[in-house]
Amino acid sequence: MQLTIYCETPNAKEISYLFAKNPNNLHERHEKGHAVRFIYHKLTNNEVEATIFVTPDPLALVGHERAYDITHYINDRGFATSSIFLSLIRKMLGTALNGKPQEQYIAFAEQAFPFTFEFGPVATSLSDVEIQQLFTPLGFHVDIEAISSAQRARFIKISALTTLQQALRQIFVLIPVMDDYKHYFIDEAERERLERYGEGWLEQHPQKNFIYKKALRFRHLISTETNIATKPLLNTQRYEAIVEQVKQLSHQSVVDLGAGEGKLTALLSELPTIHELIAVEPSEAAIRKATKRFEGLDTAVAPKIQWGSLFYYDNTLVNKDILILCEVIEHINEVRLPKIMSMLLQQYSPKTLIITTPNADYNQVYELEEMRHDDHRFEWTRQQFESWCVAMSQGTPYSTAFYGIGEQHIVHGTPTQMCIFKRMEGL
Amino acid sequence: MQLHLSQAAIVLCIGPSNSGKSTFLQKLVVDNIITPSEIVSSDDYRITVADIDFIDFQGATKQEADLLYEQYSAISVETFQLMEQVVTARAKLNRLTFVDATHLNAKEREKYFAIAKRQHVPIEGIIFDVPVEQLLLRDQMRENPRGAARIKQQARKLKDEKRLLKKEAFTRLHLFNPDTDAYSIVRKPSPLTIELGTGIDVIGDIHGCYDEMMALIEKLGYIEENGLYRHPKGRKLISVGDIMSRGPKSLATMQFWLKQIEAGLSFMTDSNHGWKIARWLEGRDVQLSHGDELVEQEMQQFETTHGIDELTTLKERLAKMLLNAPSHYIITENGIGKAVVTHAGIRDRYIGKNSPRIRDFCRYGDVVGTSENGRPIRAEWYADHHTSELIIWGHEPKLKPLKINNTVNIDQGVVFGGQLTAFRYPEGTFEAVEAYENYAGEHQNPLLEAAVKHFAPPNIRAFIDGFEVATTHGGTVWIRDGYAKAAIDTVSHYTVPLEQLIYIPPTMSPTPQTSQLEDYLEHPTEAFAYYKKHGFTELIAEKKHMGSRAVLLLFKNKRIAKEWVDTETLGIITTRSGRAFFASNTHGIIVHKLHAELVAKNYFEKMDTDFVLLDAEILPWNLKAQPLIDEQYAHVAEHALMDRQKLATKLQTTLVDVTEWQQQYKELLRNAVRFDAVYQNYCWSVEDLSAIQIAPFHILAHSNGTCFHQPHTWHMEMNHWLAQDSTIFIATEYQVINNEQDEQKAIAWWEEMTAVGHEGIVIKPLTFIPKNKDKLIQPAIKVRGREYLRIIYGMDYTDLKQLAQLKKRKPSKKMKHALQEFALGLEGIERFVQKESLARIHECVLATLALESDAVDPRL
Repeated sequence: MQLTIYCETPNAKEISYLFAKNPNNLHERHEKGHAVRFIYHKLTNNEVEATIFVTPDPLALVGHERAYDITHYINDRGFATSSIFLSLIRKMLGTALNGKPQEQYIAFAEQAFPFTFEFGPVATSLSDVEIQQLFTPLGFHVDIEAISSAQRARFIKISALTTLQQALRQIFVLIPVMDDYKHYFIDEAERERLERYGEGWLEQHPQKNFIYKKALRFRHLISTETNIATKPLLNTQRYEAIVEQVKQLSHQSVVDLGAGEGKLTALLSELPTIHELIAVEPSEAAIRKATKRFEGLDTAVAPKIQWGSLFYYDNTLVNKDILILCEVIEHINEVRLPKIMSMLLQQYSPKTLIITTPNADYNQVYELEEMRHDDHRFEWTRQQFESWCVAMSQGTPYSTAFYGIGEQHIVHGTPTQMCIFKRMEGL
Repeated sequence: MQLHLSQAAIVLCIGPSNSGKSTFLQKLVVDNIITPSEIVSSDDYRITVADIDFIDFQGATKQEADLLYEQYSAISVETFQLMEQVVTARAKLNRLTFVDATHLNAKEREKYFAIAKRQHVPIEGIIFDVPVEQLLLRDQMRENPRGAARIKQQARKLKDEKRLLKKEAFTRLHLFNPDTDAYSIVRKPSPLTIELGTGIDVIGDIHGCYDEMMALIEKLGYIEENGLYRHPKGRKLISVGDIMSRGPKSLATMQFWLKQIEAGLSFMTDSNHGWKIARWLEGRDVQLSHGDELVEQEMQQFETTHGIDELTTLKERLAKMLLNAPSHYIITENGIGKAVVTHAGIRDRYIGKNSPRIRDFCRYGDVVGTSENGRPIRAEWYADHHTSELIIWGHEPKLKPLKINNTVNIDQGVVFGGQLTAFRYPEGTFEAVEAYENYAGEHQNPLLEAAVKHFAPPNIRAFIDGFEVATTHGGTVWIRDGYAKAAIDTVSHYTVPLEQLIYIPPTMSPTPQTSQLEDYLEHPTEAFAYYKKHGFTELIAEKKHMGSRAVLLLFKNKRIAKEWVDTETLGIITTRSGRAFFASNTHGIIVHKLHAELVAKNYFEKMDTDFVLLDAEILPWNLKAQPLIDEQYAHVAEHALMDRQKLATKLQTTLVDVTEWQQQYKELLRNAVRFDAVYQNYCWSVEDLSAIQIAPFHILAHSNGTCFHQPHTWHMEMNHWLAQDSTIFIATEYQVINNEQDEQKAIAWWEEMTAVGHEGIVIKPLTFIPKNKDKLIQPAIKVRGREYLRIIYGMDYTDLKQLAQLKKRKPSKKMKHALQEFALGLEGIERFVQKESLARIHECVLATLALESDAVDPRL
C-alpha cells in the first residue's frame, strides 16, 4: 500500500515543506505495529517526488482474537490501499492534509500545482470507467494499470492542477469508496471525516450519491430491509391466503414446518381458535429471529418454537390438525421429497397438509429467466406441481385441491400455487 | 439333611441358643467343607462392635436389668446392621454365606430375603430342631449360661415360627437336629461356566430350521460319528436357545441337541420358547402359540409313528434338557470369565447368578411394556453393559449380526427367511447359512419390518438436546446440543440425503509439536517422534495430494445400491462435509467412468463385494476450490506482487540510503512470487472432465467387511492396482519406514517434493487403527511443506520473528477431534457394513458433523 506524489514545478523545494518532511532523513514511524514510511525519490529545483507506504506486520494484522475462517489469515489487507492504509498514514501526512505548514509556506499550500498521484494496489470491483467517473469530474486525468487481464489489483495514477491538500482529501474520501472490503465498521468519526474532507467538492460531484452510499455502506446496510417492493406484498398475500384456509378447517393444533423467521406463525397466532401452534425450524439464525418476533406478540396462543427438520422423524408432530409447508419444498432437492411426504402423510397423518410453492409459469410475467431465489432447487409449473401432489397422495387417504395465491394472470396463473391435502374420513 | 450348595447362597441358621448352630458350622470348617470367612455370626460381630458377646441379666435389679437391656439392644442394632452389610457384599460378589444367629423373629429373616432377592442368590434355611431338654442341658454347661427362662422362651418361639417359616421365601428349608440327624453337604461348581478350551461356536435362534442348522454345523467343520457331531479340534457347540417352534423341523432339531447335550458335547441356554415348551412337556397347562403349536403337531406325528411310550420317554428327556438349561453360560479361560452366552440379554450384575428374575430377563430381555399390537416393547439393555465380558445373544432378529457395545446379536431370523448365524469365539468371526425359505410368513415378520424401517428417518428427539455415540474404538463421544443443532441444520440444507451419507472423513492433525529447526514450522521429525513415543516404529509416508477430500461409494449395480442406500445409483461421491461433490451431470459421467473401470478390473467379483467405499483426494484443487482461489489466493497474490514490485523499484531511487528497506522488499517480493507459484501448482484447466484425477488412499469397506484390519501397505497396493491402466485413478507414492535410515530417506523425499511446491506427506503407522495401551492414537499426521504453508500461514510466515510466534500454536483440540472423528467414522462404516438401520449409521455421521461445527484454528 503506497501513495507516490510527484510534481514538476520551480517550487519543488517549497512543496517538500508542505509535507513537513526533511529530505535528508529517513521517515519511519510505527503505528499499531506496522511501519509507516516516507521517502523522497527526487528533490531538485523543478521536480519533487516522494512515496509514503506501509510495510505491515502480518501478525499485527491478524490480531490476537481467534478466527475460524482462513480468509482472516490470507487476505489483501496487507497490500491494498484501504481505510486501514489511510488511517495509518494520516499522522505522517498530517501537515499536508491540514494544509497548515510553517507560516512562510502557507501560500504554497493554497496554490495549485500540476500534481500527479499514484496509489495502489486498489482492490475494487469497479470498472475502469467507473473509477474514471470518480476522478475526472474533479479535474483529474486518470490512468489505470493492471498486471493481469483479470484486473484483480489495479494501480491508479491521477494528475491535475490542484492543491496538495484538496487532492489528498479527495483521495482519502475516494480510496474507501473504491475498496471492496466488506467488513468495515463505519462509525460517527468516519462520517464526520467524510463531511470535512468532502467540503467544497463532494456536494457538486455527479457521483455524490454513489460516493455516500459506498463510503457509509454500513449505515446503508441497516436500512435495506425492504428491497423489492413487490415481495412483501406477495408474502403477505400468501400468509393471508393460508390463514383463510386454516380458518375454514379444523384447526386446534397447527404446525408451521420450516417456519423461518416465524412471520406466518405470528399471523396464525392471531386466530383465537388455535390451541396449539408450533413453529418448526432447523436454522439457528431463523429461530433467533422467530423467538424475538414471538416475544413481541400479544395474541391468544403463544407459538411454540421447536427445533426440527423434515429429514428427521419427530414423534411430537403426530396427529396434529394442520401441517403447513409454506414456500419450503422448493428449497429441498426433488429426490428427497417423496420420503418427506410419506413421513408427513403416513406417520404424522394430520387432518390437513397445506403446501405452497412458486408457480414457474408466472416467472414469465416477472420476465425472469432464472429462478426466484438462489437457494431454490426447482420451481414447478402448475402442471408439474399438480401431478406431483397427486402422485404423492396415491395410496394415502388424502384428497388434493389446488388454489392460486396472488395476482391472477390470464395465461400464467398466480405467482404462488397452493395444494391442500385433506384426510378423507372413514378411510 | 442334604445340602446342595452352589457357588453363591445365603444360608440362614435358625434356632434357639444352644441348638448347636455354631458348633455345627465349626465342624464344617474343621472338615474343610466351608471356610471361616463363609460364616457371619452375630456373636462374632457383637465382639467386633462392642468387645462382648454376652450380658448377664441374672440377679440384676429391675433398674439394672433395664439399663443392661438397653445396652444390649444398642449393641444388637449395630451388630445386625454390620452383618447385613457384610452379607449383602458377599451376595453381590456371588459368595456363599452362613448366617449364624437365632433368626427367631420373622423381621430378622425378612431383610435377608430382601438381600437374596436384590442380589439374585438363593437363600436356604436350616432349622436347628433340638428338644428343649437338650437345650437346657447344654445351657447349664456353657461358660455364660443364658438362663432357663430365656431358653424356654426361645424354644417356644421356634415352635410358633415353624408354621410361618414354611411359607417364607426360602429357596429350600431344612429341618435338622445336629445331634441325631445325618447330613451330607455337596458344593457344586457353578453350573454356568464352560471352559473355552479350543474354542466355541455359538448358534443363533434355530426355530426348527433343522436343514439349515445341519448345513451350518458341517460348514463349521463338525463331523458325524455314531450319530454325534464332534469338532476335530475339540470345539464346543452352544445354542442360545429357541431351537424349536415356528419352523418346519422342531423335533429333529430338539433331538439333535438332546443327544449332543446328553453326551456332554454341546450346551444350550434357556429361552422363551424353550421354557414354554418345557412346561408344556411337563404337562402344565400352557397356551401354545407363536409357532409353539407346531411342536405339538410334530409330537402328535411322532406318537403315530413311534407310539405313546416312546413319546413319553422322549418328552421326559426333552423336558429335562430344557428345564436344566441355565439362563446363561460364562465362557471362562483359565478360570476368568471372558464371554457370556444368553438368549435375550443380561445385566452385568446378573452374570454368574441365578434367580427367577434373572431367568426371566435372560429369556425375554428387558421388556418395559406392551405395544398397541400386543407385542413387547424392549429396552436396550446392552446400552448398560459396561463390564469386559463379550455378551453373545439372540432372540431379537436383526438383518445382520449386530455388534454393539461389546455385545453381539446372532439371531438373523433364519425362520423368517433370513439366515442362521454361528459366532466363533475367540476368533470373533461369523459363519452363516441363508434360509432355504421363509417359514414364518409375512405377517409380523421382524425381518421384513426391519427392512421397511431400515431407511426410516431417524428420530430427531434422540439428537436435538445433545447425544452420545458409543464407539468400539474411541469410547463414548458426547455431542452437546448446540453442536447437534448446527449439524442438523447442515444436514437439512446442504448434504446428500441421509441414507446416502455413510461417512464423514475425520479431520487430520498436523505434527503435535512444531519443528525444532529454526526456519521450519512443520517437519517429519516430529511425526516420527510422536509415533515412537507411542511405540510404533513401522510407519508409512504417503504423498499428500493437494486436491479436495472426497468419499466415494461405488456399487456393483443400481439394484444392489437400492438395497444399501435406498437409491438406485452406481455411486455417491461426497465432499468432506457430506455435500454432493459434483453437479449432477458431471457426477453421472464420472461415476460411469469409475464403474466401468471397476467392472473391467472385475473388482466386485474379485473382492466378493456389492460395493467399495473409498477415502480419496480429487484433483485438481481448483475443481472445487475455484471461487476460493480466485477470490483468495489469486487476488492476494496479485495485490502482493503489484505492491512489492512497485516498491522494490521505487526504493532503487532515493535521496537517502535505504539499503535495509531495499533488502526487505527484495525478500518480500520473493515471498510473493513463491506464494503465487505455490497455489498454481494445484490448479489446472478442467474444461474437459478427463483432467479430473482421483487418488484413493483408503479402501474403507466392502460389503463383506470393513478393511480396517488391513495395513496401509495393503491399501496402497490396492491404490496402485486401481491406478493401473486407469484414466481417472492415480497412484500415490509412498515409502515404508522401519528404521532411522528410512526416516532420513523419507525426510529427503519430503524436502525434495515440497521444495517444488507439493503439499507434503502424511505419516501413519502401518496399523490402520493404532492404539497405545488400548487408547487410540492419531491414525495419521500430516507434515506440510515449507512452501505450501505460505498459503496457510501467509506468504511471509517464514520470517523468523513470525515463525517464532506461530510455533506457539496449540493443536490439542484438533488432535482430540481427529481421534473422535476417526472413531466415529470407523463406527459408522462398521454399522453400514453390518446393515444396521439408517438411524444407527446417521448418529455417527451427525456426531462427526457436530464436531466439525465446533471451530478450531483453520490453519492447523
